[in-house]
Amino acid sequence: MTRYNETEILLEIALKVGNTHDLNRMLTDSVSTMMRLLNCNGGQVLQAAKCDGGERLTWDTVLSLPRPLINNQDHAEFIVSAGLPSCADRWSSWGRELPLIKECQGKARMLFDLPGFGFLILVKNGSPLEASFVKLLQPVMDKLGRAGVACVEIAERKRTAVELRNREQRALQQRAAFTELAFFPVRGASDIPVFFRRLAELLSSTLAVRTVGVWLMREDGRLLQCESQYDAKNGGHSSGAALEIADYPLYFEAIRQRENLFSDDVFSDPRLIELVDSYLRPYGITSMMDAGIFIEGLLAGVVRCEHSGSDRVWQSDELSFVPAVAAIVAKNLMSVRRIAAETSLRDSEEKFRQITENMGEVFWLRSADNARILYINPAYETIWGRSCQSLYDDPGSFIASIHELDRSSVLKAYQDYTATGLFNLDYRIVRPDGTIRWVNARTFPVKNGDGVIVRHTGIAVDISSRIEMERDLKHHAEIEMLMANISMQFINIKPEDTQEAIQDAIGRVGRIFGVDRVYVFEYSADLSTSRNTYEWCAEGVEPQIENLQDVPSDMLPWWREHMFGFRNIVVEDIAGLPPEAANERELLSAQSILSLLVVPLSWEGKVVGFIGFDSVRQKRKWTEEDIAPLGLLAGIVHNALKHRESQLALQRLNESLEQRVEERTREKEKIQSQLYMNEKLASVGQLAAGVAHEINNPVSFVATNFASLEENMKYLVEMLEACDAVIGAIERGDSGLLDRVASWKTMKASYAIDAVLKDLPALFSESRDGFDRIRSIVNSMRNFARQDAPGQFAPFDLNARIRDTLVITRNSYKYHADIDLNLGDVPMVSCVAGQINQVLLNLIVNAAQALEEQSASNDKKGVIRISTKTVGQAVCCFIEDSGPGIPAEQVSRLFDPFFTTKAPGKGTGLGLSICYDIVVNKHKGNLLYCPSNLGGAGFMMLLPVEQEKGVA
Amino acid sequence: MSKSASVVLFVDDEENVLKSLERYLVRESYERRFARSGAAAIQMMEKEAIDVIVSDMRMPGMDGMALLRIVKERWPDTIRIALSAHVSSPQLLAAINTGEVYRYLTKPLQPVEEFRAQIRQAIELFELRQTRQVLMESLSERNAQLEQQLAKVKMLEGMLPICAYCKKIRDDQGYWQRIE
Repeated sequence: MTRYNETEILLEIALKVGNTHDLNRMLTDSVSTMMRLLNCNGGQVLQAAKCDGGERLTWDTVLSLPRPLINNQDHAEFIVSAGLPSCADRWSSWGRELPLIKECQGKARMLFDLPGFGFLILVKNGSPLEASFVKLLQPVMDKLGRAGVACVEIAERKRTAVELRNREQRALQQRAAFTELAFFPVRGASDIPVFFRRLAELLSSTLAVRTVGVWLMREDGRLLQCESQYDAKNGGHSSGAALEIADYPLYFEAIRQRENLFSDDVFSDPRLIELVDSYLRPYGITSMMDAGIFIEGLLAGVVRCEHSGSDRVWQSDELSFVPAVAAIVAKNLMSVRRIAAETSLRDSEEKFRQITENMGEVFWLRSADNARILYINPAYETIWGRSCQSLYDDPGSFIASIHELDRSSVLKAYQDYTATGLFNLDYRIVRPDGTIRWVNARTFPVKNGDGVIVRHTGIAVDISSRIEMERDLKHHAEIEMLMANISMQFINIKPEDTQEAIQDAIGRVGRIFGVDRVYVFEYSADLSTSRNTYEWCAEGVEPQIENLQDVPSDMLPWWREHMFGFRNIVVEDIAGLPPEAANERELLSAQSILSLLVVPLSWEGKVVGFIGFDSVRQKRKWTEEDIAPLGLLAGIVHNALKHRESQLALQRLNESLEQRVEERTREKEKIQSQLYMNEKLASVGQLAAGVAHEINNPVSFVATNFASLEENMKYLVEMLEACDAVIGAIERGDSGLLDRVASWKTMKASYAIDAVLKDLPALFSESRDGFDRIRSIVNSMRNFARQDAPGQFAPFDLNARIRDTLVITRNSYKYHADIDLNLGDVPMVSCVAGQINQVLLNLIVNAAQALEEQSASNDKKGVIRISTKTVGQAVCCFIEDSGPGIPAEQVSRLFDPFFTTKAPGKGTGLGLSICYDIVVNKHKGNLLYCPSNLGGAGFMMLLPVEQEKGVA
Repeated sequence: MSKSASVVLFVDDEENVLKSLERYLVRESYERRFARSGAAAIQMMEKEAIDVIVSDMRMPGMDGMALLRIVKERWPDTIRIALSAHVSSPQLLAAINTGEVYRYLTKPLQPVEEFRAQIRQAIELFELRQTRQVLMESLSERNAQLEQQLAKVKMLEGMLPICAYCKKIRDDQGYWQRIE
């Protein structure tokens, strides 16, 4: 195949068709040229298509073929390879219309407009070619692997003409757009977005660029944010994208210095390197035109026009148009700012007036020299009771309104204010009607930018009610504090101190409430009489307690009714008591009482007395603030009285309780010792079975031996008798002597006498061995169980007792363990023999049981090692085994009562806890678990050689 | 019954016990064998037929119960006697109820005189069982012979006009006539 040179083809075709207006001819020429250049022969299809300037290509418009078409199928394949794949499947025959792919539409239209060139053939590898060429469509790559393109270059002349015409047209458009934008009505900030939208649309259409946006600096010049952007491709507006200025130093430096940034090819522009990956490439931008918006010489934003697709060369008219638009934006932004500033000033003045006129506090402005009142709000009239005008007229009248007691301190504070600039004071004012108000006033100097005081501003608040409330609160707090104190005092009070405390409490309450008399009455058990038990009188008030003992309740029915009904008696004036209270009035008047307040004392729903306040020297109106604390006092006093009673009862109870605790302790000790005994019995029981077996074996063979001996003796006697008979026969000279000897021999043989005699020494030695064993076991048993003086410390031979214990427990280990005794030379220790024996027994049996389980599984004998040695003033006994040991997590619970690892029924779980008690508590020794180097458990018992005097 | 002397095997881990038994049974007519452990006992039984085994219960390694169980399985004819100083009822009950032992004797033997009789009884039992076995075998042999003969008679009956049981003869007409 001959490779073609694209340029050559282009030149040749251009020469041939450059001056012709004959379309058919041009195509024919160019196609045949192509054929020649490409060395095509039969079967090759070349075609041209005409664009109608709309959305379609009409394929049958022009066809120039040196040879007949072969078939339609080939043609379809050609379409595929020509790069209109989206249309290929629709294509089946000649004469059909083919939709233009979207990218081609714009170009098609432009070319169509070119005079004399009402056709288009395009596509190169599926993408449109430059618009400045007219191209013949042809196979870019056919199935034989051949490729080629035919293009017709438009004459430069025509291009220039078009360019001129275009420029003129652009100028017109630009002028129209500029005029519209310059006169766009921007009256306030709300018009700006509309303005931006219109601007973007206009610029986009005027400059024929894809996107136009207005970007403004935000957040103190940290961000460049897109305020409005128009995308011509989808006709949509958007906003919000932002660029961090710190991230693009080159770009912003360029904009700031040159005010504009125009780039035909963004990818090769060094100023835009930073934007390539983050912005330009993602949005497919190829050419860009940014004009800076400058307000007061500072960069306030940019107008950005972005072109996508193939690079675009910006024209000079365009380069001056965009900055002009940016200048309009700057102008509009400035005017909006000015409008906003004016509006906000107007607004704030109005707000100030509204606030000051309506606020409850007095607010004023004074001149810098303090001589004139510049402003005072109407609250002054409410609080001071004087007109604002009077103050404007006579600023000095302000001082006159201050309470004379506070005047000097206010003047002093003003003096300080000139020095410090701080004024904050509470003082009283006197209103024209003579009433007094408390106010809190504060004053501040107002300075200008140079720090010079231009005026003073002040504010005053009426705090009269607050001051009153504070006073009330203080009194209230005092009362509460007192009541709390009194309550505290009565907690845990000793019975003998109660009376004094009640007396003290009613005195304190009386003083703080400012009453003349406080008293407590207690009813008798049947409520028939009442008795004054406590009384406090203010100075100069006559006590009445002497006169008020055993007052019959019947005498005062009205009073009684109130008390028994749990109702308070609140009397402001004795004279106002109802007629049914005549008796009461008489009695109270006799005590010269004017007002009184009485609260019943009750206990478990029954009235037991009352507590009251009297006012003697003046009438008093009782308020809830008097009644509530008195009720509280009633409760306290009453509790104190009851507390005293129960304390006394408790003392009596306590005495008997101690006795009972002692009894229970004794009982507990008894139970504990029983528990110990039970455990001991359990181990002894277990032991007994083992010992029985141990004894039974020797007893068995000794008994059998004895039976043999007995029998043998019988035969031996028989033999001796037979012998005597023989001897007698010899003496008598008996003739049957030989027969007798023969029969004796027979007898001897049948009785196995020879064997018997031979066996005799063995019989005796074995039996003796048996007896020794029995004796040894019995001895050990006796030693083990012996208690010379039960529970008393006595010298104890630890090594000997270990041997005894091993003898009596032999049955528990002999099949599973060998004993390794390693007994040192240890002194006698002071012990309760029975208890330590029990510990030894327990530890050895435990070891034996551990090994029994082990030997059951592996059929091997283990080792129990027992060692003793002296350690300082103590004897140490270490009992260890080669068993499985004790899991680490169980070690901490080993000595807990009822903790056991044995199978149910195998142990009570008390053994080790009792051992621990015996060794640690009773013998002041120690019992520790130390894992053995034999692999199993190890218990170390330490016993002090000497015990302190005492009984375990 | 011509048979070699009976053999009794005693098993105990305690030599003194075995010695005392040997001594006590010195004049008995049966052969006596002694083993110190279960394993030794089984070795002996593999070499020689044992009529009666007397075993201690508590022994290191294989205990008496395990030994007797093996004996029951491998030598079912051998009479098994347990001898133990340690009488625990569950063990005893299990031993008797599962048929492991013929007798359960306690140490020390009390009264010791009965021990010989108990051993002899065991031997007798063994021999009786052996005899019964032999008799049963000969009986079944006889039975088989008789059955054979009976079958023969029945076969002949069909061929001859004579009934051997009811002593009748068939005449030419085919009627049975009593002989006599």
